[in-house]
Amino acid sequence: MSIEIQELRYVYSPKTPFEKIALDDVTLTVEDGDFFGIIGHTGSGKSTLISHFNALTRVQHGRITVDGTDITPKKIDFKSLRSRVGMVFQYPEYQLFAETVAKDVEFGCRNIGIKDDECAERVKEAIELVGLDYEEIKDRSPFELSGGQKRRVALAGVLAMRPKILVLDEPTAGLDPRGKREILDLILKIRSSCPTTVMISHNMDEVAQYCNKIAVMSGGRLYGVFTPSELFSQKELLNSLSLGVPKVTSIAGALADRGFDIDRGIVKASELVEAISRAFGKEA
Amino acid sequence: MGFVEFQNVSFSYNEGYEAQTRALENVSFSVEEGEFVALVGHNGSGKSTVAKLMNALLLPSAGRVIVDGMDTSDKKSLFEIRKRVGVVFQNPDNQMIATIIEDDVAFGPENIGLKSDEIRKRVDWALEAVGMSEHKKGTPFRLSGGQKQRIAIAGVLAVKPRVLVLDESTAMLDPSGREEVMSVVERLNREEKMTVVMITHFMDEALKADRMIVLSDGKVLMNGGRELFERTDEIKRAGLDLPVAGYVADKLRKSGVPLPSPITDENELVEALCRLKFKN
Repeated sequence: MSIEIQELRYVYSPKTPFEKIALDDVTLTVEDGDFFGIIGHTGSGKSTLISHFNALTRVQHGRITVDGTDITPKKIDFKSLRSRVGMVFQYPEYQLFAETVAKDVEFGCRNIGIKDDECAERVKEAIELVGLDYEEIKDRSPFELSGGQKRRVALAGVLAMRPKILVLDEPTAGLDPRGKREILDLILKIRSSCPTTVMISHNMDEVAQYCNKIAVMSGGRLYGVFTPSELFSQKELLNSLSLGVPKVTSIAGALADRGFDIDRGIVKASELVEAISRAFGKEA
Repeated sequence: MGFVEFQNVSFSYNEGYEAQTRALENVSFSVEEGEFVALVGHNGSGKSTVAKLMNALLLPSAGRVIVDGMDTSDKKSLFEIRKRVGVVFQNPDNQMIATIIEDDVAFGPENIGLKSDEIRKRVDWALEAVGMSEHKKGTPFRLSGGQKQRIAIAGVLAVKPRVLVLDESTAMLDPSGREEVMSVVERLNREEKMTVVMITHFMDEALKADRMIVLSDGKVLMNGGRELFERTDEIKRAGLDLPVAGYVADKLRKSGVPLPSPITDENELVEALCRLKFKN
């Protein structure tokens, strides 16, 4: 399932003194099976862009096609679109509201009109998919869980709708290193049933490791779409966009500057260890 | 005696109820004046509880917290303690209270009952210190996250605290916002001699501190200088990541590259590798 965006432009508060162009002439395609990263500093338009994907923000100018369906017209089938495009916002645990975990996870599912029996089945499946014990947790209040657990419950609520594309806005923000890894590994696992993922992140190490394509946004415009090693070997470009380089890539670049025979586009710590070991004639 | 002292502090949330949870257990440490201390630990390790105990937002269930010689449990000292310890929290949006930036920064000094010309002076100084003077007539709601967080810091500075506590104040920022805030904090520590306690789980930020205290499951696991970064297994067990350079150095040593120890930051790693490779 793919998302095609053509010449998208979006203006906040148009024709007022607060008019602000949030997106300008953005054209890109998220293809079936992509783990698609979106980076850019605060205010570059990332969140405005993704909120178009399930028609929370409506197209002002340009055109968006999701899975072959044009979602530009005013009247579209919102339920069908929103069950296919699962949206996980920043700090999704702030959106938990029900008395029990099961009721919270079920909410989206019911909203799109799934019948009782099937709903119950999906809730169980989703809670297990995010690595929580269904029997143990289903009747507990979501508010007494830890931060990492709450985020999983929020994610389960989206997964219960069985989306085909998962769109995540900074899914690891505020988590500790172990929590980050757990959530990212979970997202990788979910890809077996929901193979297309779009993720906004400020963490260069993270997008470098997990994404196959990375879109760079700057001042409401799309700067380009790159593979991780293409992007992160261009240190000057990233500095000019004040985006920084993954630590690993920065070490590789410094060593290359000093005469080591090493690829400047290395983005994974394990690859860096291997490359340096090789330079010393050792096996990593 | 340190400026801030934790003496065998324990703390439980919902004490006496069924939902009682122990957050800190027998925690002791001290922070000296002028120090830059990083407090690190996994989610739920008790870091934020420590921050709230420092300015009497929470009181210990057992043990004592002493700030500048005053016990935080002593109600009479509450005002004086809060003047000395200022806390900046994680979410910049939750910390803005006024519609004009200089009004926002003036909130603290107004609250402690300063005269208006003194408030004026402090607001100007605080905005200058975080590099936001030019925005003082603007509204905080149209700023970037890093700028908002600098305003939040200015709001705390205007009370002229002796200790600045940052409770994951960079967690919600992008890399450039994080850098903005870090450079302001480092400068305050260096030039204004402000005591800084920085709570974070970015180990690269912790590297900038003079000392690091590692919390795990409500207990102090380690307390010391940069040599702690060499204790790689313990750091991993505490649910934290090594700074990348330390991690790579560790792996390289294990595969037989004779790197010296300790190596904690990028420059040290690159220099050490170059010395090994090109010494002849």
